[in-house]
Amino acid sequence: MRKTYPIIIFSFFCLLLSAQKYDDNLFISNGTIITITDGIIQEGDIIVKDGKIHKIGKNLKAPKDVTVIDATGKYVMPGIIDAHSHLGIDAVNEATAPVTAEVFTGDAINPFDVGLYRALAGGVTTSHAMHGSANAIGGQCETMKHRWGESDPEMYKMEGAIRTIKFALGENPMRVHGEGRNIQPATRMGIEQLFRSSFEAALEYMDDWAAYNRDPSSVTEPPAYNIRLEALSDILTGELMIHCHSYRADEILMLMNVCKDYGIEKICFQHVNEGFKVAPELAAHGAYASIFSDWWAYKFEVYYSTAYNATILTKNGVLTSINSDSRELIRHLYHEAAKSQRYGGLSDNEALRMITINPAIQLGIDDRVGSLEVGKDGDIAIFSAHPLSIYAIPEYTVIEGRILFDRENDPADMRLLIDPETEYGSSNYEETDRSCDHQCLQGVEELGLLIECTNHNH
Amino acid sequence: MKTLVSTAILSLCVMLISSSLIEAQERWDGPVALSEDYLLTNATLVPRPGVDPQLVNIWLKDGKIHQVGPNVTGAIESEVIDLDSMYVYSGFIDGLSHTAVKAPEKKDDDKKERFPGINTYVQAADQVQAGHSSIAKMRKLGYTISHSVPKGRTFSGQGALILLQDGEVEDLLLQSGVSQMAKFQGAGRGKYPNTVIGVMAKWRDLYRNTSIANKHMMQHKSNPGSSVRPSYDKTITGFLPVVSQGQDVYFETGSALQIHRAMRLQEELGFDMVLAGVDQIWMCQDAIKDWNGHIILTDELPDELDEEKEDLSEEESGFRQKRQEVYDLSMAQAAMLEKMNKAFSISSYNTGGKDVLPNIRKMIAAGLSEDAALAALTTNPAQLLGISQYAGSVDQGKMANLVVADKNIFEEGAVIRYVFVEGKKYDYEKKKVKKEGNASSDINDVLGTWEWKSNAMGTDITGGLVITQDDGNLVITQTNSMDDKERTMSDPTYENGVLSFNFSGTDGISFTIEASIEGDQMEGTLSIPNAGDFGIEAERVSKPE
Repeated sequence: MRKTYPIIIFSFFCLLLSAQKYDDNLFISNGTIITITDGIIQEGDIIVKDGKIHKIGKNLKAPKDVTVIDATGKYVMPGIIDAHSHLGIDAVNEATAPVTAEVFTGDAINPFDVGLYRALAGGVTTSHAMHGSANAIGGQCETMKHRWGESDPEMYKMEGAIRTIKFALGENPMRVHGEGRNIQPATRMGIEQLFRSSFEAALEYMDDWAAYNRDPSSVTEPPAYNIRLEALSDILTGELMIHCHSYRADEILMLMNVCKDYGIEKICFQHVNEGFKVAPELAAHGAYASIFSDWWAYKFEVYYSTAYNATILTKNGVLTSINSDSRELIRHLYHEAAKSQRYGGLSDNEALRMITINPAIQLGIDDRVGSLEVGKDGDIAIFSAHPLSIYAIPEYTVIEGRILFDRENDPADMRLLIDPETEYGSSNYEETDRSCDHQCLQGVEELGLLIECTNHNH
Repeated sequence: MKTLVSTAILSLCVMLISSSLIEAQERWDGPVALSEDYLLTNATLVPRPGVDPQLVNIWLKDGKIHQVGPNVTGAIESEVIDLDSMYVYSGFIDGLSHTAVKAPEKKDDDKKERFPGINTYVQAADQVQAGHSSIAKMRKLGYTISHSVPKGRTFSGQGALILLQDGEVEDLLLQSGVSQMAKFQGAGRGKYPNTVIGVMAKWRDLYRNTSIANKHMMQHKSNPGSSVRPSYDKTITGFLPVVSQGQDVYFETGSALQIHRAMRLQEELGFDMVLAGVDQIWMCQDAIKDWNGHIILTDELPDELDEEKEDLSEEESGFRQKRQEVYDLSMAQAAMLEKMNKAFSISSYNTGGKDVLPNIRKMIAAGLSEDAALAALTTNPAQLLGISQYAGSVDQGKMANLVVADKNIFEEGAVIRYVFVEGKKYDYEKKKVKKEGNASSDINDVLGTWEWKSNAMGTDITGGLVITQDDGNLVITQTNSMDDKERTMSDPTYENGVLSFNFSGTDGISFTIEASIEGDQMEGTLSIPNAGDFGIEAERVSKPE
């Protein structure tokens, strides 16, 4: 393989770099510690040393000169992880073509998006900044840690996270490209064939380069470098994991079949509202699901849904997470997780797994976050009550031992940057247009392909 | 001597003006019998930043600075200009602009371009227009050499060095293929790349393809028998100088995020880069500190904040405080760069030049030293553009590019009186147009029929102006005594007591009139490219009913 060596070196490098970016020390005392993976510790303490969880247990001795959070009467859980978000990026859709595998939301990180701080204020420490769903094969996504206050976009990138790419099925790509531009895909069949023809092109591309690298003199001209086909090749070699926007059961089955045909093993379905219909098939394939708790009926293909989706998927053995896809929902994902108890009666731990360790597994970062374990990153959310209680209020959010949200010290205007020519109360005073929260199709209106702006348009 | 030469100029002007003012340009291009041998006496010279002003005479000859010193006397044929302690600086060098460049008319074919917005192959040198109104405009602001780039989007093409003088294109062009201009702006019209993520991907794709093509070309060159001839691709060929010859990429980076993104691309791909139109430095100080490269700071500053108010809500007063901080930081960016010991330039790129000096004065008020300000206009851009050996400072043997101001140019109210470009003199002894205080912007002040007169280029011309309004917009028609044709003026504005408008002659030369209004009297200047500024007066003869 042409790229084997650089990749091995690169991976090794990533491993070295996978150390966290903050190295703060912190002592959390006397809280109810929900570890997620190892039960609950009453009146427990946590020592975070150099950004990592150093010790968890009862009656630990506070290290000298360390910041202390008295968690008496409070609940301590791992920082919440959102596997589907579009926060903190300046571009969501490169909607100019139905396949844009080469674009990367990590190139568009905007650390000045105050939504990131608001997510922290909801206990969310990590989010998966996804490309939108305008294209059948959208772009590569970045897994971010919400290190609010940093201005360098690189500081938001979570090294060591696996590379992911957004796919989209159904109405969105059909509407943008089929209806909007009169090109493939105009139908669900067209989407499947677009996947297949893209993978075929990638196979051919890999062959061309392999032949050239084996013996450059056998080829009259080097193959053209094509960054789009490079990314598609990376899907086939397993370096890029598919996260696919999906609703309907038939399409979910279709994509699993395409993956089987091309030897693609790992896949995570996003939204997957009809997942409950094909839960055994998803489980057999080893596919993951990242869903809304109870959000549907915002367009035709998403009428047939149920709030029991999380429970049905979980009980069938599908690793499931609950996501936000919204600047607003991300601020109370613990409420969203709690709904799986109201509908389906999942246990506390099953419910909390869906906003902690499960999304961490889906993003390939479960070795570092998603549970409170010695050696993991000191990413912690502290609540006034049990996080599944409707009365719970997030009080502290910590990343790598650094307190980034403290309810006691939370000024009204946390924006890092404002335009000096902004007038108070003017239209650009608020950084987002609240009437237009749909993010999956963000950037598409600018192309004149969608006119209406509705609130639920994932 | 001076009178003699002036008389010569005057008679020449009368000759030129005898038919039509608008055709003046066509007749200006022959051998001009002007002396280009000047002795500037009693000049307060700041030869380069960091040197104390010195009282000297400067002898300009053959387009060069012939001699500089307290006792330089010039030759018998030198025209003596007594500067009477006026301040003399090296002519400003514009590190980045669109001066003199005119994009060709868009054809329908453009829409079929394979990569719209990816115009690596476009050369500013091919778009330079002699006599373009921007040349005289920028010169009047003190610029003598400009690095001009084509207008465009993602990759707008290659820049050229232009001497801001009159003459043919050949007289203006110093160098082509100086740079590649890049922006994070998408290709537009819904074409790929449309967003920053598309632009970044396109960069990687183009760069790596060009590297591969370059390698292939080298191999083919060394051993043509063993490989096929590399196929031609104009986009790749246009980008080749960046990849193989270290041509500078001028990256428009008007925000901290764009700065980070450009640095990211540079780190990944390894090209030479100049950060241009730079803003929000305070948000990325560490990155700037660690970066080795030239910065062209934005010449734009935020509008002045409105006055303090009382009885504000907590939220509003908090917001105002935050805004004030950002405002102050914006003003202090140049000082920040100076403190970091960064070589930086201030070009006309963001404001088109008009605000450069006033804004530099604000930057000085916010902590920038005058030496660093002068360096940003002269020595630093000269170094950036690789022309320090002949431009950027006032030294014997260098090109005779000078700016003469009536006092220290960084002092409030300083006015540029002469600009010399390669030894040619441009005179700006004009009346001040701008009125003091808060003059009116009410267009009703200017409506009516006016009669104007001017002695442009030594001849008396008269004419009429009819100023009406259409739905709040000014409409001005003008006649003159030379051809009695009626012309509609473009871009009419009336702000703070100053009326301004342009009109184009048949050959595309743009004339500008700027005049202050006081009752029924108008007084101002008529600017003619390649000729200079002339007084113009007018009187209102009738008002609308």
